[in-house]
Amino acid sequence: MNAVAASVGVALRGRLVLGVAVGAGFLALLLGLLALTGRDPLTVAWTMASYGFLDPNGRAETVVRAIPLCLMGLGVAIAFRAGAFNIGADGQLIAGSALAMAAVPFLVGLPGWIGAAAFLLVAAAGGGAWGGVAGWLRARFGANEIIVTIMLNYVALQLLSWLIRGPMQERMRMLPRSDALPVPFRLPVVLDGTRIHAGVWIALAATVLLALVLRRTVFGYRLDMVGRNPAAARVGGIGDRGVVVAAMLVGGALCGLAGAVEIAGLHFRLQEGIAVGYGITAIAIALLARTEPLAVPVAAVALAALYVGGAAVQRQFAVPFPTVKMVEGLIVFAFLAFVALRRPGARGG
Amino acid sequence: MEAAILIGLLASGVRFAVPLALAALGETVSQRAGVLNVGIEGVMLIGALAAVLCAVWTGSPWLGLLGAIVAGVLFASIHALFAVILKADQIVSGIALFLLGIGLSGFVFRLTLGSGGRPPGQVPGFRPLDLGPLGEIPFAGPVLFQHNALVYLTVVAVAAVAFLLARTGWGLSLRAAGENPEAVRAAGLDATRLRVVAVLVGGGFAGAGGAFLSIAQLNGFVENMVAGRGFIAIACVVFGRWNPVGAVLVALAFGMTEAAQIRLQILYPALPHQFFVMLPYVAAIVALVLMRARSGQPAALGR
Amino acid sequence: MTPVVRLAGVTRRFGSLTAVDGLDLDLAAGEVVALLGENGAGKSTVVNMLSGALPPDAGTIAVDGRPVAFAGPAQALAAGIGTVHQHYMLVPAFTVVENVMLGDPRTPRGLLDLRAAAARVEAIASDLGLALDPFAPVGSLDVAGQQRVEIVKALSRDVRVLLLDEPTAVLARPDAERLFAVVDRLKARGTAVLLITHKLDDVFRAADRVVILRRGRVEGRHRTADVDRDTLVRLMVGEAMPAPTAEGPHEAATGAPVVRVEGVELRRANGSLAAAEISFEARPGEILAIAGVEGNGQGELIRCLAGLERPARGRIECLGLRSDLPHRWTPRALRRAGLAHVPEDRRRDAVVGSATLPDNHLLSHSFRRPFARSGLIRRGPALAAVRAAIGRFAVRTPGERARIAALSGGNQQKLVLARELEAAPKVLLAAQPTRGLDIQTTAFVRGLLLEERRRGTAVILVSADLGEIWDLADRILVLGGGRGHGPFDRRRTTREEIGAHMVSR
Repeated sequence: MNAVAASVGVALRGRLVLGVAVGAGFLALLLGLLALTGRDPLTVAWTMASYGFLDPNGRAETVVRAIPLCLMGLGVAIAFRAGAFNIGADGQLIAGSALAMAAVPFLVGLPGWIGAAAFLLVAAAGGGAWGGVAGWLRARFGANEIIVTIMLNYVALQLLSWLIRGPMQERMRMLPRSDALPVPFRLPVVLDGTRIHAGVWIALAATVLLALVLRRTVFGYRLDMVGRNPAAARVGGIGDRGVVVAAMLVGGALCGLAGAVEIAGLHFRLQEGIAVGYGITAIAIALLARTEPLAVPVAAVALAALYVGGAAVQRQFAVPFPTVKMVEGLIVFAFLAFVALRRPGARGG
Repeated sequence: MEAAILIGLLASGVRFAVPLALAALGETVSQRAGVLNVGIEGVMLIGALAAVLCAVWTGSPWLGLLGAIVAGVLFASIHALFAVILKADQIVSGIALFLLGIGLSGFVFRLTLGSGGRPPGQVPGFRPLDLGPLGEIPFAGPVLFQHNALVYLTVVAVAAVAFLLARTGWGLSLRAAGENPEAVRAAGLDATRLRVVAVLVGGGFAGAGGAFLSIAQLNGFVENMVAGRGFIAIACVVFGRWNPVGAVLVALAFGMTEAAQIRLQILYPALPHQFFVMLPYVAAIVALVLMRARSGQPAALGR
Repeated sequence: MTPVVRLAGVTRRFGSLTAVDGLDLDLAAGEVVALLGENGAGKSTVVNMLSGALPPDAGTIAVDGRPVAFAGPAQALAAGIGTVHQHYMLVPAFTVVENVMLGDPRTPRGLLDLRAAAARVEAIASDLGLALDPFAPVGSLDVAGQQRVEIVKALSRDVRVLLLDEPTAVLARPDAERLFAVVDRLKARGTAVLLITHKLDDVFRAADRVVILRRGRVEGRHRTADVDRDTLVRLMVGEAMPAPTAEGPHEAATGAPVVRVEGVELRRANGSLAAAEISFEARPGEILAIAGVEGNGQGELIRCLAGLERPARGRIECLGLRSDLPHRWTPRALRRAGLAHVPEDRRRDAVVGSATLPDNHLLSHSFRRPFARSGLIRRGPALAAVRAAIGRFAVRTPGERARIAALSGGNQQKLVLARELEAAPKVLLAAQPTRGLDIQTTAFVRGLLLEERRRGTAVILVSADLGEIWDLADRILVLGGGRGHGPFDRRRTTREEIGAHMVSR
């Protein structure tokens, strides 16, 4: 018994030491890169890491940004779970937002919150279709979903560009954007003095719901098994292709929902820049959360804070904004290094 | 008149094809050794930026190209470390490489050229070669013989890679590493090393592809300028059935699509140009859908 | 005379398990030594240490009297030790000559001269009395042909010691006989051969001496001429000999057939013909065995029967479902109708290694009560079923909720069987259900199959082991030479007849 406890202790300590070592290595790398800006790297890094948590304004902005990131992170995570790589969250967000905005004229007659709910549902349907297509092409034709989802991102971007300069442009025809979303469809601010809107409840509800679905339902179980071993799942009578399509569909729906929430809570219009590369960040979030839904909001808040901190750094020190993307890449590699080195016998062999 | 349009289309199609062809060539080498690198988009970005920086710094496009290749190799070495040596998931590592490539290229760009750096016009770029009488052959001259040196180097590279993979001992070992790394080890070779080399070669080609975009086509760097070409290059590899010549021919088809969409925009000004811009991306999806049978795929790809 | 290879006190541990414990072994030129033992006796570890894949923890390996420490297979090959692994280390997409050239230090890094190399391959092959087309793709060869490539590949490196790891495991008897003819020639040439096997026939046919390994320790050394079968079996298995399981065939089953296969043609994933003209019926309460050398369509047939594929031609009827009707020929539809399937490749097709035991139990029941109800998955009943299986089948596991990958292959197989028998199947497909299991577990699994037959299940058993088929089957279908033969009534046929069909061209 003591021997077991001791070896567990050693393993835990080993894991800790490893984590610290990997973390320190990557931190040093980051500080080195930041030093290239000619500013004090420690100050820059500290501001970037802390502003989104410690500054009151920063805190509120972190939550605002975490809302779409959480929903998209969930959307990417559920596909990862089923063994599909959805890196087209941006396109799904656009497809959902555009469809929902196009549906608004048909929804204005609906009473009260039903219209707002329908707006969100249409967005989910649009995003789901965009993601589901990629899933279906993989299941039916073996088309690599990584490339297909990325290509669909570019297609969606072009569609958006056309819509807001063509059929969906505002009546004034001034700027490339749609008319404003009527007030009844908008999500209320939930914390006065901030931009935090009711989307935060939607994101949290989606998180809990997805966690329950994955844990308790037959669909969630099948998804998990297909992701871990599609061949065995097929032999066991689980239609792995259908599961992959469904996972991509649900994932796309969550991304589409994220778009509607962004519009209804923040932008109120369809315009370019509603999806400023969040899809890429959503991948980092899903990986860091190890595809566990309950961990997604945590990872989303962390990376949202990085965005907010990055913006603050840019304002204060004129350090370029893509720092955030770079840090995201470094974080994912640090995570990979940790996972790979922890695995026994990873080296050599 | 129509001949002029056709000549222009084919000539610019060749130029659009080169970055795809270079990246696809590198990805072919990497995948034939069994390593999938979905992050070559990021490598191309790094190469594109490095090319501009080195060209501006040294004043020579050739040193710009060299810088891009070196940067591509170095950047791909991250993938080699994680996906091959540490045996992390190849796809996840590739996606992380993509992320890091976007971030790092944007970061360094803003640090160097972006904030009051040189305007794109002053970047020393590759100019079309004067091949004398060859360039004056009707039709074939403008289509084939009025390009810059990189275009011809790409042709040489295709032949070289095809020869190396198919006919040499090195190619045999490399392909074996993509088919059955255990067999390679049992035969007394170092499969890991072979794969690392393949990933680095792939990175060098992707870097060169990025360099073509920045110092032979645009003469400057713009954030995210690769615009999905790295992923299209992977589609070229798949549709070219993992054969270097096949991949490059598919890249040529994509280059033509890209050239055609620009001309179609002008020919049909009434139609929204966005639908033409979409064409290469839609074509990539169609190519993947049409490519049903996986024959030619290295058996140990991704493992 | 100095032995070519001498192992002295060689030990290798994996965690708390000592796989090989203080092994002493000499190999002289022109001698064939058999290393005999069960699965898990430590034979493969010996192979891995001698072939340079694994360093020993203690003890020395000496070649020509000089101690060596191999850092990898290249050094073992350079020292003159070649290995034919149980799972061939070949590149199926390459030709024979390409496989032979791979990794040879004499192969240039530059331009290859395939014609010269092919001449060498032909010279080595004809020297051994083997027929081998140097330009044939290895993937197109049958297992015996691939083994010939492995042997030629090893000999092309001018080895003086050849390790043959379970070389007859997947060979039909005539092919095994051809292999031993090669071994005889090698012996005559002065090559030392270490024959790793668990088959007594191999030992008596080819070996001069036999070393018996059990649980990593040497249990005995004998000259083959001075020892009998019973002694070897006793040394190999130890005291705990399982009771024989064979019951012999029953009365012919007479119920209405539940599986009907009519004129089925099977194609491999690459489109080539695996086997044609297969027709048989399976009735409740019988064991129908499918015999044949591996790779003659057994895998494809089972995949079709399990609903994973449809036959290229002909049709299958199973429990009221038909393979030629659209949409209904799926694993789930068949399982709902009463099919159970124990796949051959356990790690790929039967278990989800990173999932818990209850989740693995749910794998083939995610669509039926009590494991799924109104869209919810129920792990309670799954846990109860796992608990019952652990008790009834004496499964050794770190816990009821452990990841299944933490269990040994035999224990995993018991749980797979428990899962597949859970819903009282009417048809049981069992593909190589005892492969890789120790003798006790093998006996247990065979007992389960017989029990299912008594219960009235139609059992379709695929086995490469004719002995197993002889012990269990009522009727035997043979796949060989690209077609189906039979089925034959086990009581009215002979091993010779079955064997002849297996190798028919």
